Amino acid sequence: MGSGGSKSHQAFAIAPAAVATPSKAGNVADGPAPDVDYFVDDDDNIITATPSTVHPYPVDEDTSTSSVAGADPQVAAVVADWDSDRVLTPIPDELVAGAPLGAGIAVGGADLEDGSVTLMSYNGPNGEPREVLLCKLTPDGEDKLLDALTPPDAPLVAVDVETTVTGRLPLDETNKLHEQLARVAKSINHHNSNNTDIPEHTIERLAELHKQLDELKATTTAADDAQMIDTYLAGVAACEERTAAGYSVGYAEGGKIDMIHPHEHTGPATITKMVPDPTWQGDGLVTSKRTASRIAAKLSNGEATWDGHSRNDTSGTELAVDLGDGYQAIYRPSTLNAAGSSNASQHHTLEIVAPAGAGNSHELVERLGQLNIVNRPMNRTEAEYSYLARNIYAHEIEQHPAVVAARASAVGLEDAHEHQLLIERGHQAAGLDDTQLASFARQLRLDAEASALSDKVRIMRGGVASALGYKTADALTSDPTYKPTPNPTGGWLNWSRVKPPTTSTFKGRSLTHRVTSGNLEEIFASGALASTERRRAMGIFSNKGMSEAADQRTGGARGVFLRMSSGTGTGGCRLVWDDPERILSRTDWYGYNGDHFGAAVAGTGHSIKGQTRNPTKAAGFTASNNEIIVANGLDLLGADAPSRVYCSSKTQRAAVLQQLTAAGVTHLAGRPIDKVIT
Amino acid sequence: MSAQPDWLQQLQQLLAFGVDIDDPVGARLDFYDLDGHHQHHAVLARHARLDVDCVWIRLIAGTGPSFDLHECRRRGLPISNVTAAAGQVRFETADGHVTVAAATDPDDLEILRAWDEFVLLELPASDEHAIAQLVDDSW
Repeated sequence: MGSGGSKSHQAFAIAPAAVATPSKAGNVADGPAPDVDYFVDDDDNIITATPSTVHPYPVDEDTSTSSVAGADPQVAAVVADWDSDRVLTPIPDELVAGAPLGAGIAVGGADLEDGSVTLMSYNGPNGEPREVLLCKLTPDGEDKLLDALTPPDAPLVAVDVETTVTGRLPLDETNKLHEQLARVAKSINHHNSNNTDIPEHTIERLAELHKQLDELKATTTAADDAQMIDTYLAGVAACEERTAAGYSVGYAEGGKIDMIHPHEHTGPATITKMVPDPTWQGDGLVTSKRTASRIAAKLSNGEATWDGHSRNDTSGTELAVDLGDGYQAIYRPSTLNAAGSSNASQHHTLEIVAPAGAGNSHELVERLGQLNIVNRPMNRTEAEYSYLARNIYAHEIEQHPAVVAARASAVGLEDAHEHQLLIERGHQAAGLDDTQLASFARQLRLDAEASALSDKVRIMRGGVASALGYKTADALTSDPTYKPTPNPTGGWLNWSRVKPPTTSTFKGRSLTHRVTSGNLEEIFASGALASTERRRAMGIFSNKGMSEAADQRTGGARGVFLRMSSGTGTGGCRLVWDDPERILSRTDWYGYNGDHFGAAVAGTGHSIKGQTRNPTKAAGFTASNNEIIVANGLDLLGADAPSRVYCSSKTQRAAVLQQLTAAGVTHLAGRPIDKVIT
Repeated sequence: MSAQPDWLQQLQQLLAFGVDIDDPVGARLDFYDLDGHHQHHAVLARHARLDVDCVWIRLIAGTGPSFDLHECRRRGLPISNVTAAAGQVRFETADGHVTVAAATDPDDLEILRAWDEFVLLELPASDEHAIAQLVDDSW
């Protein structure tokens, strides 16, 4: 199982399986079978069994029984529709290095929001990729993870680390040469853009700077300094050109002075880092607390790159966990990050970083087990549980009495399964010390959760059916729109709605997203309209500042913002979906008939009053600042392709068409690209 | 064409450079919860645009020297209940949330300086124009 280490709950790596469960594809050959609906017999045939009569855990063989299909007709009905492949999204053996969207994998259990992880493989130094698992935990999943950690108070020790630093030259900083040049250039641009006279003091400052640079050039002997001075003298020349009599180039036609960046040089340095004391012994994985951060990836020429260690600080707190063998987990718990004082868009998010090199995809998923998180590809039962959970959210039926009752029963079920397991395994507890007993109890609970899953699915089906107006659970599962399998989209997964909206729901309405004209090609090059958080993971931009966008504070940064419009929206460069039901048939969006800064949760300083996930209400949005936030992003070249793309010019249209053709894209949303790109 | 409301003129004055580009002033936006407790604030970019049912402004995200314009997205403040007085423009939503635009304090001026430098020196003129228009949702 590869979880390594010596912590008792690492054994949860979903190991407790009495029944071997090789999939057709062999992807879970060594995995457990905590779902008990489906088993594969020695002849590789799928067998279904009632969960109440099968114990998939290491119970005494003489007490283990199985019951062949048919005990639960609802299960059987769904099985017939599910074919024989048990694993929804097998873990790829090799990840495509540099792929900016990564690979979305459905992972089992109820620990992960959307039941999925994204596996990224960044181009790394020396040709060695850096592979990372990204996911978001449910609140229950967070509790389980925290239980696997030692409190983040392990002593720290100082270590010296050789690194490379980049910075400005002392001669520049001492004389504030760049500051002087930027000040002058900014003033010239400001006055030229407003067609006002350039002040005399700006002209004087420019002349003084020119003189100072000339004097420094005459006296300096260092090559780096000379290079810096030449760079700034070129900037001075650009400024002097704009202030000369008769200069007539328009501001937007090349008259604007280009950015003059500070001249920087790169050199080696030794820095001191504080790391957890590797010799310290605690009850759980060694953990250190630090300022929250993100991977500092960079996207260049369509490829994502990361050096494996650079990070950008954000607001809030995260836990860094040493998983051993070069693997590290980084988690941002809600318990350390109150809404309103940290990035809600990062709450509950988990990274697992592999050591340098390729081929870690399976191990990355396995390592979730060290954190008490279910760590195997999702099977059909687990998919249905996630599907029901997402539909409860999407249909806003969390408080419906039938759902509340079903959830309460589900909790009771886990207790019952735990009790049953205790009867079976109680003798194993004899002679255990306190620590071992705690681990034994924790293992029992985890196994009970897994054991109870298919029963929980059955109960939740009934609750959801009742809340949505179906007469029976059978009626729900027989609905053609009941599709308990996730849809791969970009590097993530989404789930569809049962009873989705239809064309008539959105008659005369469309979804729009305005794009700055110069960046339409860039968006299509990435293949996705991605959320801020996804953009950061892709490396589109690394904002080095601590102050972050309001969207990150509100949690809206985990989604992309669309607006409900009439017709095709107002003019300009934009993406338009004439059929909003295609996007809003997903379960992972919410909206407001006004600007709430994408507030996902309460307590961020932005009201969540009026938040809706109801398609009919969204269709009625009329405010010009309405917002619909779709999680993760939209796959512009796949299922989420826009119906129309309005370009700003014929030249841009030709460029986008050429770009898509070169990428082998002939159709978008089922139509030829020359009909979509206008 | 109808005259601009007084509060809009006051907002635009707050957003402007001031009298000297080398010694700028500017505005910030403060957010309050329903109990009137201050939640957080953001520095505002230089422009505002009045729409039929909101006024569009742009929040500056980050500290510079570069900014991700995708994150400095436009935002639409409600205009159904706007009051202007004593150097402040106060926006209140139907459910009672209050947002106040006021002169930025010295601590935030460095952000504003970096933003101005970024817009005036780093961005192409077309992007600078687009920032002022306040119509695009993403970059």
